[in-house]
Amino acid sequence: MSDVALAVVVLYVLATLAIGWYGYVRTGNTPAEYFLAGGTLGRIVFPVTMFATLMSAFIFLGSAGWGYEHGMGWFALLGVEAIAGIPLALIGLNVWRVGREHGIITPPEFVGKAYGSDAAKLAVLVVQFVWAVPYLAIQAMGGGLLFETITDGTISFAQGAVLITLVTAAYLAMGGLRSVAWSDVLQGTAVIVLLVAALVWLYPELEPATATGTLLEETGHLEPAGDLGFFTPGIWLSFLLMNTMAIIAYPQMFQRFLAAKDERAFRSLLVWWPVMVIVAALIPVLIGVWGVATMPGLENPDAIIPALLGEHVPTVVFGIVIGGALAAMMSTADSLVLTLSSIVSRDLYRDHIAPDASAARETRVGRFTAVVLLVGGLVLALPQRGTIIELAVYFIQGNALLLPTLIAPLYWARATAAGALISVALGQGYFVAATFGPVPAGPFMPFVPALALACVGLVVGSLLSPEPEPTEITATLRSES
Amino acid sequence: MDRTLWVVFAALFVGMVSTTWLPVEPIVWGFPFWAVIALGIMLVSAVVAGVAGWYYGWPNTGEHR
Repeated sequence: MSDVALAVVVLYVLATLAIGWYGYVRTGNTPAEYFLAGGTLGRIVFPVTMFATLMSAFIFLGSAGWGYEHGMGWFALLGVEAIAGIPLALIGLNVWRVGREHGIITPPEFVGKAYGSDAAKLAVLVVQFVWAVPYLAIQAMGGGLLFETITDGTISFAQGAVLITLVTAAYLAMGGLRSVAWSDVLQGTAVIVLLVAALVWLYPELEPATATGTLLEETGHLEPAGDLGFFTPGIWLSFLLMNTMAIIAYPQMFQRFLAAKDERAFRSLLVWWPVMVIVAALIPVLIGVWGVATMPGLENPDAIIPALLGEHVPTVVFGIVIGGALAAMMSTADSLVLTLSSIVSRDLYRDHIAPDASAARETRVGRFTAVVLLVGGLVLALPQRGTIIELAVYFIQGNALLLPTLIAPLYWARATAAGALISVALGQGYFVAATFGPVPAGPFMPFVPALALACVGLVVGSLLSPEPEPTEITATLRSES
Repeated sequence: MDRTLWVVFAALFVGMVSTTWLPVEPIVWGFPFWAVIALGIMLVSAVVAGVAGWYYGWPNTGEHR
């Protein structure tokens, strides 16, 4: 049984590598080519690569796991990302307009040029790096978990994690964003189609009508607060806010804005984003919730989808759907690593270490950094500390808190570098103190008071500092308005 | 059009916040009532996005200069 499933997964991996090679032979040796695919992502590739970048092990395994553990509430808290497609397209278009005009490649570079401040750039750079570490680890963890499950332990967790890391490193180092974006089309399509296929195959086994009745009578899984009462109104608001803001502030998503070919790509993003997200938010949580009645007492909630599939669907289908889960993991890991490597090679290496480095050398440093980061994520994943969703939540909150700093120059002429620095320091400082220390967060997650502090810090810090001179970016924005 | 989209987003977001206070019953097609409303809000966002993009042609300025 596991051999057939494994063969399907291997075929999928080979297809991804082939796309990576195809991207490699078409990618020039400049940073804009390697990191932004030369700004060529059009109406089909652009929205799909944005979607595939967001979909991760967290969506495929973690969401189902939280549906299983907590209940239906997670569907709404994740599904809010569908309506967040509106600000995603609105803000993304503005970023693309000024970014394209000024040759910007990375999010910290955007911040540095928008505020005219190296300090603001470096502050954002450090924060994005710190919170990316656990997120990289969970993609390798997801790969290890899946391979271990589909081979009944023949391939161990560690071996599976190494395998997915090697494959991702291979095609990422080859073709940069062009490989990543084209493989995202395969991976994003696979995620949607295979999630629907999983639901269709499992529907009779899950017996939703019976399961709903059982859950209604015996558990709190259908309550908004969930079976454990975790999603209180304060926590509810916290997740809605952070999931909405994070999808714009994630470094790999923010950088994608700059790779769009034209404005019509953003129309396509606006139109197709909610549809794709609704499918991806609804199905894993439904399977997780109904799975409580079908397969109670599962030790690891994250394994509910592989466990149900392994028991109830033909092995070929099982292999194909697991391939979709791998797709989700690789498409997130490669995108995040690509963005972080561009930050290292451009914002650190070129700007501060080797200003005279050629474009080709800058790109080589980026390729090398990508491999190092993937290996780093693997090393962190192997001890299996924390569940997938626990680690993801750090990444979501830490990045979402950067959004006020990232977008303030687009909408507020009075925003200053001092305000940005205070915002980052207050927001991140409170978040860390409340998450890992004794500082209280009231009825909310630490994110909400940290966000309030970040916003207040930005406004007060900007108003108390001298009015900023127009930077090249703000001057462009004002001339257009 | 941008301003309209921001207003629609704000209204939908408030709607999502309010679902936490809605009841579980009646169950509709296997979904608790509050989840049906949440799903409805998501579908409205899809319709609004489609209308804005396809019918009104957002961003309707054509290619940027």
